[in-house]
Amino acid sequence: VADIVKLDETILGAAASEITFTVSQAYQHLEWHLFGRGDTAATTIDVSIRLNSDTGSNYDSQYLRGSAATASAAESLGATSARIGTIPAASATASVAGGITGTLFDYIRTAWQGAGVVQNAHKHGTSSGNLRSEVSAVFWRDTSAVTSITFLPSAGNFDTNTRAAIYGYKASSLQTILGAAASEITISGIPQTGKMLRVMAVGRTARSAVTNDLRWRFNGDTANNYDDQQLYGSASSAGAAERLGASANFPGSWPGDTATAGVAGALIMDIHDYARTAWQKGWSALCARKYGTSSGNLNVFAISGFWRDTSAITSFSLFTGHNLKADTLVDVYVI
Amino acid sequence: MLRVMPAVVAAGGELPALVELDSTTLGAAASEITFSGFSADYTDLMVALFGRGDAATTAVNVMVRLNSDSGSNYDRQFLRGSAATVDAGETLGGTSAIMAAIPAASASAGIASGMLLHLSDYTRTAWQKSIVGLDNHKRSTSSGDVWAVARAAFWRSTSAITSVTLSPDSGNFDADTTATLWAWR
Repeated sequence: VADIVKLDETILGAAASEITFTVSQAYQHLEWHLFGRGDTAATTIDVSIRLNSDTGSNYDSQYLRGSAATASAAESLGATSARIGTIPAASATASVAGGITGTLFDYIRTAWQGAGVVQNAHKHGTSSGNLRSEVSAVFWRDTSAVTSITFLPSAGNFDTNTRAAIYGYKASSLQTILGAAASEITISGIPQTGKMLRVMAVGRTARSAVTNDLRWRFNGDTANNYDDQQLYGSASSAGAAERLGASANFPGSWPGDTATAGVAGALIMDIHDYARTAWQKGWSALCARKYGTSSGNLNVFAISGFWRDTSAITSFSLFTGHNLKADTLVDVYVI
Repeated sequence: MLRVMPAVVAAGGELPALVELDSTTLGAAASEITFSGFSADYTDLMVALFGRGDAATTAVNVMVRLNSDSGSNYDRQFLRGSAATVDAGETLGGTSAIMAAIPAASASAGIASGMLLHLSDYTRTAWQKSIVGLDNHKRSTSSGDVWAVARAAFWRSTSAITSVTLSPDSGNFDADTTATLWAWR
């Protein structure tokens, strides 16, 4: 995949209180992989990110978690870094580590405040409740281009052997950035050479409301051929909803026109086996939405969607029923 | 089914960070798909599967086993949305890790389901291994038959991962099931 490039990597030879990368300004989106452990005398520590060394109270985050039979959610507003997950620490079972992968969207432009999505696999023992599966949305109250990213443990240090790497996604050949508000973004001429299609999008809509649900169609199909299921976290609420036989998929929700100035929504969607015709189509997505800085104004969505058609996907459209605002961006990567 | 990896060809100039190591599309039903013999020159693995089972039921689980280890060495956690219900569950000390559910022979015709997994730090031996993934499941168009699931799994071994085996917990993967292995540089 020529559009995705490794930018930097650190494997700690000794415990360290942070891992910082300077970020190249030549890419559109940033992905990180962190795998490791803390050295403080606790079973777990949280990990957070700080951008451009900004230590102000400028970060918001929302997670949705499964642990044993319990689903939970929580938010953090106006923190001095954005929580991205949990890893085991010194009192955890020996040799276990936690993995955190995440994406910061459109980090190079200054159209929107920062937004990202995260997945975290956490384990600190082999007893019930010692595992977590978590998805998160993170936000930075700043429109600056991201020039550095710092990973921070909530206590102590990252242990020796903790590894972190960052990757850059180039502007894709099918990239669309709206120069003016438009009712939809349609990407056509999708190459039929990949196993999977990864779509990254960031933006906002002109609906006169704080939020606006997105809609998504394949190959211009307007029939009632779309099914989807969402999981979402909002403040301390974990919820779910399905849509069956709809005329478009729901890939997430973004801020509308009356949301706080500068905020945007972001989504990453992976469409399986898009070029073959053996099966009807399916996809997964993570979506981050923020529309203010009050409790309940942040959302993370994990979404599963299906199109009742076996055709190869040659085009898709993103729309809402209201205009997408100027500067809304869509990138497409053939993987 | 054993797959042997082709050589990885690096691009000139900037090296792509995400490299496809192998892909399998089943020409006939098979009880497993195994990726093995792959390069240890990368850092993380990514595995996608999209397909269906042939067992006489509406859905089967997809099990992941690493290095053919059939010991009780796998822990896993899921968080699922189904209709208006959110639920979660764990398995401790399993002999494999359930990382997806796919439709099977009694499901609606033509549908399939997928998963995308990320395996961290697969070559080093500093830590036990972890997997994070999303699976999207559908077995019919009735309420409750479409799921969104966030999954995590852990292998109680620090060994470098040298093979990844995907198998249904009942029957076979159907013909046309496809799986791909990528590596992150």
